Amino acid sequence: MWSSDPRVLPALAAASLLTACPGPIDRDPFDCTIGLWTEDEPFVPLAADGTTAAEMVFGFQGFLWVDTAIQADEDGPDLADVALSIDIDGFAPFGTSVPGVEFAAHGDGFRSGPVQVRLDNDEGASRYEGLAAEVAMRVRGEREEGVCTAAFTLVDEDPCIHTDDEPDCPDDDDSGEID
Amino acid sequence: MSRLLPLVIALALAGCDDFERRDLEPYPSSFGEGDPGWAEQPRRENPLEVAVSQDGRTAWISLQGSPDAPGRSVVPVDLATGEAGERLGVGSGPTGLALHPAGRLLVVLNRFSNYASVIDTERGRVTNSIPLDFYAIEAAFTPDGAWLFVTNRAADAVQVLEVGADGGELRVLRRHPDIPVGTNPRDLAMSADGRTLAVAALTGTTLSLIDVVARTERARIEVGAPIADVVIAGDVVIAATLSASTHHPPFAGPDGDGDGVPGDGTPNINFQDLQNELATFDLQTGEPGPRYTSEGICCRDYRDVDPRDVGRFGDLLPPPERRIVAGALPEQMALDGDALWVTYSGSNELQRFDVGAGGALTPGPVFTAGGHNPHGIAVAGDRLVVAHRLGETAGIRSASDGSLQATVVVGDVAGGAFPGTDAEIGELFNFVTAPFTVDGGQTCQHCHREGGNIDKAFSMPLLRHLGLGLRQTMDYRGAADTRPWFFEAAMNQANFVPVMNEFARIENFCCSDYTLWPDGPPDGCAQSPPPECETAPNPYSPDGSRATRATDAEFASPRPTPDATRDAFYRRRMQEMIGRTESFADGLYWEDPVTETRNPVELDFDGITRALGLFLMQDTHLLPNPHDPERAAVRRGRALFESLETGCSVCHPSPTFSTSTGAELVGVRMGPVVSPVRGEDDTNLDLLSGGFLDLFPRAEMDRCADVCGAETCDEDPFVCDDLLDVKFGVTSLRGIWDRADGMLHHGLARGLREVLCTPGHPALKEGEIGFNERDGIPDTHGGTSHLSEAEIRDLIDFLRTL
Repeated sequence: MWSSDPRVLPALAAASLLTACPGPIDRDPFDCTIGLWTEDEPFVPLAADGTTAAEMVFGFQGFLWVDTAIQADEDGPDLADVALSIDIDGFAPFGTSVPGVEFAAHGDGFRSGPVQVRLDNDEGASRYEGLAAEVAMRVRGEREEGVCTAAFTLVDEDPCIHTDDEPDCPDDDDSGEID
Repeated sequence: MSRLLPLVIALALAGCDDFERRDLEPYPSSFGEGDPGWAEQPRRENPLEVAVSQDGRTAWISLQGSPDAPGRSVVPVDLATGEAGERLGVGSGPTGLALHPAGRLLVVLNRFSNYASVIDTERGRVTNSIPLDFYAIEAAFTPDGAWLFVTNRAADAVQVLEVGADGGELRVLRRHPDIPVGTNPRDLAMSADGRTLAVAALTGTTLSLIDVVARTERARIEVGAPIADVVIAGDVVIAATLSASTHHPPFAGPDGDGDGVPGDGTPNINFQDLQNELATFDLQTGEPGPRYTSEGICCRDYRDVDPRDVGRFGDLLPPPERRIVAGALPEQMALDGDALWVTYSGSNELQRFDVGAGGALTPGPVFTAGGHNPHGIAVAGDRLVVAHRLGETAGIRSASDGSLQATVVVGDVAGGAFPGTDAEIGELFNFVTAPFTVDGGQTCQHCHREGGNIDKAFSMPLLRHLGLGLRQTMDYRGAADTRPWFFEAAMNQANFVPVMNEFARIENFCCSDYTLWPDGPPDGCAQSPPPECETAPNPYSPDGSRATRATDAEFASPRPTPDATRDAFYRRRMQEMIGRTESFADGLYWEDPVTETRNPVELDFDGITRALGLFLMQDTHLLPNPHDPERAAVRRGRALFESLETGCSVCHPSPTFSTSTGAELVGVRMGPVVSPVRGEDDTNLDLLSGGFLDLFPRAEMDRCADVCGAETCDEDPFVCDDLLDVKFGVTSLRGIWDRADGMLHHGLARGLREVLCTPGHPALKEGEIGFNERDGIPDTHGGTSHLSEAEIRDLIDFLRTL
């Protein structure tokens, strides 16, 4: 880019608009609810007592996660960044950020696609089996913000692993063991 | 007398820089204060290349800086005292250094300026500038000092200057026509007799041999990998390069090595096929000689081929005496008699080799560099000087035993030692990845050299038809322009784990090896590894992918690291490299959603992935654009780009020229706008694996059941793979002027003309293919079939200014 380029000023102006620090933003609050996301059902409500079973997916390349979804009221965003944390019984809480979660209109509000809560896959899923977990999410849209929490119980009922294109299940070979 | 006339004229003009000196301006960033993760970064100067005065007393080091914050200095180092002297101001982005054979003048190539700076080393000051084009990178004199050959990245050429030394100044007597070479030439070497110049193309993966007297390219050799440096030892050219692999299995996929059969001729697949090599070529003919490869080409990763099993391609491994390259990413070389010194920028190491007859290499000891990302190296009498590009230091070593004698700060550590921020942790990983890989030999930079994209398409693990499809290497410049989804329009800066996973897959670690523990490892496995971690070998992989624990497997290597888990491996490596296992939390943190308190992140696999994502976002990394936007042709091209007839700006709107940050169509994905890569029976080889689609729900692909019916697909899930399509995001066009010639998602289009033109378009040159069609329907990637040859030219001229 040439320093004498007359397009530099407009470009810089556009860039400064993109990068300008708006300072603390007062976002409008909205109510949100965390549920589970499954292939067949995009939003599975969670029981208030945390007993709803949340299946851990041992998936592609051995990554481990739980698929959740977020439901927002009519004041919710259509695009948001999510800060999430998970506190599993007996483990130190940890968290991450999930940028660019899209919401689609649903009923009187909005519903997200799957929001993955990734778990440490160092020692597989078995160490989390049956443990209670609390999840919290702060959902920030451009002008909206909501905080929601939920609890569920982690389970590992799927006998298959999904590390490759097709599931690898115990019945797939004669030995009954996964390769 | 006539030969002296130009010199006389030049001398008469001595002292006058009769040209307008200009610098290029960095691109504005689309990521800044207020964006999550953004943090102020310390200024760094990135010492790059080293030249040594003829008396061996002083080393001169270029402080290149970065594309977003270019350096402007060269620093002298007194090798006797180990002290850095007063810096000399030069142009923008000083890169290559070339000492005139008479020993007094040092030419500094300033990549973002339209001139080189000349230093009089006797007086220790910059004496004059010589006009050059932007992106002059490295240079070499003929032994008589009368000619200067300069690689130019933007022109893909060697520029030829006839020069005259006048006391403390250097004058250009005449500029001769450029010599075209491969894409993005960088390093070069002059033969001792001054008759041959070897030129390495970093992006183009080719080596050019130039006839210096005739000033023509005598041979262009396809090396199949980026070449970082070349030296000439007698009649042999030694190239510091990488594996020619395209990660396809042997005898499958495209014919990568041009031998007439499918496959690239290398045994491993996927990332474990990334090797580090020193390739030799005949100086006269360019005929390839022995090619030395990584000492870790097997057998650490569970997917490596079995050296004892022809059925698992063990016979394709090079013989053991050629597996001698001990470090990752051979970067720069220096000859010292029969000794060849090589810096390994990707593993913080250097190695000595002995050069025998015919360029035969015998491996010598390997040394820890003593600074991050060793780059330039030069011999100074009985010493070696090595620039540590990220460490902001230089190491002075013994040339006889390699021992480190002194480390000198030559760059900027006012903001603290490197790495001092979370983005810098990511930067360290990006350039010095090898310590985090199970074979110790892979880096991000193998494919993303200097942030650009090498001219190669690879098979990637995310493909449904593993080992058959192609994905063009992406540059990471301007990654923030398409955030938050910048890989396959599905992965974001915090979760691109499948790429990272290839470096150290969990199957290689005892407690996460699900083939060893199908029901889960015993409790506390990571804290107290059970005996099986010592006794049970790694799994193996018959297809180079899926892990298997078969009792009849003869070859199953021991664990590649002593760590029971991958996270333990990463934390240990970080502790060793930077003395910490947690982020600084200036940009990489996890926020408690309720209290909004910020917590540091552990530098394990997930944390380092996010640190790398932060580095990719933090700066544009875009090379400043050298193309004049005010030319009439560019204005015409802009009008075409913005016209409804072409529709270019609909999907590539300014300011980022992509449908992402700041644009209306954030994150749009669409079906293929050009024909997919197809295999036998028209199978679409672009399709994504089901596992990948599960892990990245934003990725979109047609479902077999929706297209062909559930019953049919239950019987054969691949039955409809000729009818399915995958959706793609929209690439950013900023910086496209510097991208590799191989374009589109598959890399098969050669340059912008082939991308833009419909099949048979009159603007196409002989042998070129128009890729603007999908399955025979033209204009699916914008309307261009109605454009004239001149209009296509204008459109390309405009695109090259973005």
